[in-house]
Amino acid sequence: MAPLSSYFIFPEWLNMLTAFLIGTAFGFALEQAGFSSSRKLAGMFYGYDTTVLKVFFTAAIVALIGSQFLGYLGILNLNQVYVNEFYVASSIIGGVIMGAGFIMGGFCPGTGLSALSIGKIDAMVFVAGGFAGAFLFTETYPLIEKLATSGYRGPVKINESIGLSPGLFTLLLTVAAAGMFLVAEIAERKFARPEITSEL
Amino acid sequence: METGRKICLLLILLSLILALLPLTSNRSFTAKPHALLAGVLSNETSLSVDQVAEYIVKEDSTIQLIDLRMPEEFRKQTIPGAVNIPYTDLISKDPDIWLGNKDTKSIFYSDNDPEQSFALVYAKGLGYNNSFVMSGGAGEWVRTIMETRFTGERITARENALFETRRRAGEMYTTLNSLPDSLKAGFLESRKFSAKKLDGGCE
Amino acid sequence: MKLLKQYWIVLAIFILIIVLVLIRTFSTGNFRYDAVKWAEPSATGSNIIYEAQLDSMSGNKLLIDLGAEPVSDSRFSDITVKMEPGSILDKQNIKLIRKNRGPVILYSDNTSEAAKIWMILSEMGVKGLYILSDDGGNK
Repeated sequence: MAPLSSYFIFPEWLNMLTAFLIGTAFGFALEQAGFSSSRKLAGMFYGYDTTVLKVFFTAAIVALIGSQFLGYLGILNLNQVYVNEFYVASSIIGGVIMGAGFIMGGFCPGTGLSALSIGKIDAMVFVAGGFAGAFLFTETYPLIEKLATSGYRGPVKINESIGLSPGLFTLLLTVAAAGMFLVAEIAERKFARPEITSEL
Repeated sequence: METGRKICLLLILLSLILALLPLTSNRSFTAKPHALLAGVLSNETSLSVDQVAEYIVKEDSTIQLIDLRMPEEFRKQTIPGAVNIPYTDLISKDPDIWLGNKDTKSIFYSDNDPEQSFALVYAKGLGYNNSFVMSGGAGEWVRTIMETRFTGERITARENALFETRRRAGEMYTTLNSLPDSLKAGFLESRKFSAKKLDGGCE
Repeated sequence: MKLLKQYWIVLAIFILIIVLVLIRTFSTGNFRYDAVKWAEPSATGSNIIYEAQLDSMSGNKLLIDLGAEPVSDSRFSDITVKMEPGSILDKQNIKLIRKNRGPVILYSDNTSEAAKIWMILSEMGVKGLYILSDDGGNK
């Protein structure tokens, strides 16, 4: 039963290699979806290009459905899967900062790196800015520690906190996603802009 | 677009199946029934009181003695080195926080036999293979360690070692259980588990 | 028909998943999903009964004698089946247990054996399973 790491102690080099291979696959997927284009990414917020929503939401739903089935069939032990810890203040403030950065810069951390790999100068500056921000965070941590760790809720799952079974929650989320994709398509038609990629 | 629609439809259908399944976040047995049966019926999963006494006297850190009784009974009489995990907690909570260390032998005991046997099968069934019971439970401990005395005429070296271990274990037991309540409570608190946190990743 | 041809892959994956789920749900030779649910009667103590309660139980009682010593009360000899603990999961024994329409009561002079078998059978989805405890016996 997965995760295999609960049975075997894998050597460090194997962990690193696995991480490298997964990272390669992820970068490949981002690039082929066109996420190295900052116009495509910023389009999510202006409404003319909702690819970001579709790709990432679909990925999340596939992971959710897949892991539930694997858990039910006894192939994956869901209790061993890491659940992020939820800090209310950090999530809200961090979300606002990241959202502002996303729309201004046209990249998020992962897509910034994939754009960097194809040599985009704005991506280089964006990633450098990201490093600077992270550095600033760690240097000023003693001052903001109280805020950063306030509102600790532990590793909560949404379905547990609203009292739904995992299966029902999955269904509702999937239906909500399908609804959002429909709205996204309507928005794309409404806010359409002339295709600019052919100019590049 | 066509592919998009197909994927959407497939995901909705699959999540419909999931909504109908009785999913919970609880664990299931990972062992196979025949293997589990053979394992728990064999003598390998049962440790005698003398074996446990030896671990305690040596202060062996690779074992973990788990007292399945209710906290009130645990506070009254405790085997040195034991931690209290009431059986109801073992079943209802995630046992990984207590049993997750693969290198540690978990030895269950209670004062009535069904409970420690239930715990053994439950733990082994969930995949914690390093699980054992102390044969006879707390009652056997008292009878063997605290109450037996050598009554023969001549003692062999092995018997001598055995009775010496029993004597020392008995001493540790008496010392611990004769501590004033406040000190004892403090000592037992310090032995409580802290939840084992998985190391997190970032995105 | 045309729709089916277009969406054949969706249908194929859907049917595959349904088959896997049905196999997992109804497989009798494996442990059931959700270990906590099937272990619960052991936490509440409702799986232990005494001889005095045997008479008041409804349904076809099946008493399984696992021990070396036979059941003391000859009243129950006609509902008693002797089984070796190690062979409880053999095909014919499991079939007998699952087919029984009523309480299945495990008995052994070795209480720990009965308890271990109770847990295994309960986790395999056997309902109405009890352990017969000696009245005032040594525990």
